Amino acid sequence: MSTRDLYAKPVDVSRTWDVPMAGDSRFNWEYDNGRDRLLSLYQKGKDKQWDQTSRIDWSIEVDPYDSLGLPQEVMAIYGTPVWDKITEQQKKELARHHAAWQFSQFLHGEQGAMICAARIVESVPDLDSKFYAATQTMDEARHAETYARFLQEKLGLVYPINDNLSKLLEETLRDSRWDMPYLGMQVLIEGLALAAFGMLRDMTTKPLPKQILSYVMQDEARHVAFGRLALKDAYADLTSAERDEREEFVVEACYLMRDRIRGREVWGVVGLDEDECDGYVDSSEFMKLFRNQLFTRIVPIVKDIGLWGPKVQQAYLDMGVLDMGDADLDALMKNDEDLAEKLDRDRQEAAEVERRITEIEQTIAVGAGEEAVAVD
Amino acid sequence: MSPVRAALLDAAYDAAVGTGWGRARMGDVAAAAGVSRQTLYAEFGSKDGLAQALALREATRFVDGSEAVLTGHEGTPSEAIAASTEWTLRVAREDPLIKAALTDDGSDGLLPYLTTRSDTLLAAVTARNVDYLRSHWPDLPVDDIEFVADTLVRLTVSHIVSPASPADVTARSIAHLVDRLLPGGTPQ
Repeated sequence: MSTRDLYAKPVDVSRTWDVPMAGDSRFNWEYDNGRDRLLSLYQKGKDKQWDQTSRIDWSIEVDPYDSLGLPQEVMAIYGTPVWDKITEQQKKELARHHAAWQFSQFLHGEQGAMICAARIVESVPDLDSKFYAATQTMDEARHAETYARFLQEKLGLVYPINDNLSKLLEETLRDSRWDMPYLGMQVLIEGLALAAFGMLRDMTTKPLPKQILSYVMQDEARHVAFGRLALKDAYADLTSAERDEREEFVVEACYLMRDRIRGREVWGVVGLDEDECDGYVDSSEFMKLFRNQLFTRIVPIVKDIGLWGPKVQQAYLDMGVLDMGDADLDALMKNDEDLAEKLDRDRQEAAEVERRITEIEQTIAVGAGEEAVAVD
Repeated sequence: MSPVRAALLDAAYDAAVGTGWGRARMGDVAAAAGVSRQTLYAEFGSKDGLAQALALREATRFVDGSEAVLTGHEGTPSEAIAASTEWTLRVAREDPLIKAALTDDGSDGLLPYLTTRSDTLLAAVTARNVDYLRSHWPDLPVDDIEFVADTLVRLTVSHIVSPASPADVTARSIAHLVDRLLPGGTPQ
């Protein structure tokens, strides 16, 4: 079925969205002086490829109206007059639309990440970075494929890309300097997504989204590591004007992501007042927490790569997320990898238990049959 | 001025008057002018650079307008200065960008470009005034002229930011002061 039929708002899928290309495709003839840390990241990228068709258990049934198994309190309008007015059926519909909106932005974001990673393959000067970015391009393709399948097969509903997300993607891609797509896409947009993945991974009570989010996050740890390596080196040599420009971009992008990418379009689609409901997003206790938590990954990376001037610090102070700069990134990323591996082990053990139970049942059945024969 | 630069300044003007400068995004300004963020930064360097350029362009507009009043005036130089200052004060009070700068609540608005960060603007406007005064009081020492021009500009800006009396009254006082400060020369 064409995705056109699943979009919550009309999307002309016969037309592509074209962002003009900027910058050079660079060849490099030195094949022998890669940096060890980048080459080992490249090796890890090759070793850790996985395939959604075999690693994810798509046979798990999903109730599209309760796909994530989240409590009602997570709805921004929970406890407001609007919430009291709507029917149970509308609440279920809202849960489906919110999940579809969220995962659709993940999906479109992953497509953007794939295109940006491919751009880095082309434009970054060093071959070790090109090799690594090629594996990341493949990672992002697998993620987009996985999110698309979840939306199409399990929710049966897809949202168009949020206007402000596409604005940010365009700003990022139209820049001809190799670091800008990386800063915009990998550090900011993916950093935001990673935090959102993490919160949903930890909150969901449903096995399928848990698998998807855990495995995607396992790959993201490499992506973040690359961003830190590549940008930290590059940013050590910036002039103050170049640094200021990037810091202004970080500040604008963070405010945009916090204030304008928050599912406003969903309210209208399900027949509620967009302005009223969007207003509740500012006062909802859960949403306040959620929107702050979106910066848990971005802030420490921005600090780590050295874009930590007064404007950035002031913005993070205003947003109440400055302290996140001190988070231990390595530990966070290690934890993401460990959780994915633990999920694999738990699933193997559960499958093993399942297999033994079946075996025992069969033995009992056979034994019962023999007994029956003996009694005869 | 290149068409791109002009389009970017127009977009910056609209953003400042629309959402307020503090909330204006460089990305949106670039998009409104139909160029990339990169082009915007190549042109102006930073948001501060863009604000400085915008303030300068607007100030130039004011100087052009007030000079038109001066040169078209048939009275004494003092009367001409009164008329042009009055014109400046009146237009400033109705100017959307100045209104936006004066009412912007955040600390990151445009007001500093008329106050603590007004040096570029003051220097440019003062230079134009020096040219005018020299052509009318050619006998006077340049130092005196510069002092008077600087005083005239600073007073006018101060009355724009914080008006005390009606524009015509203020303008007459300023012209009177200029007259007193330039007594020795022969006006032409």
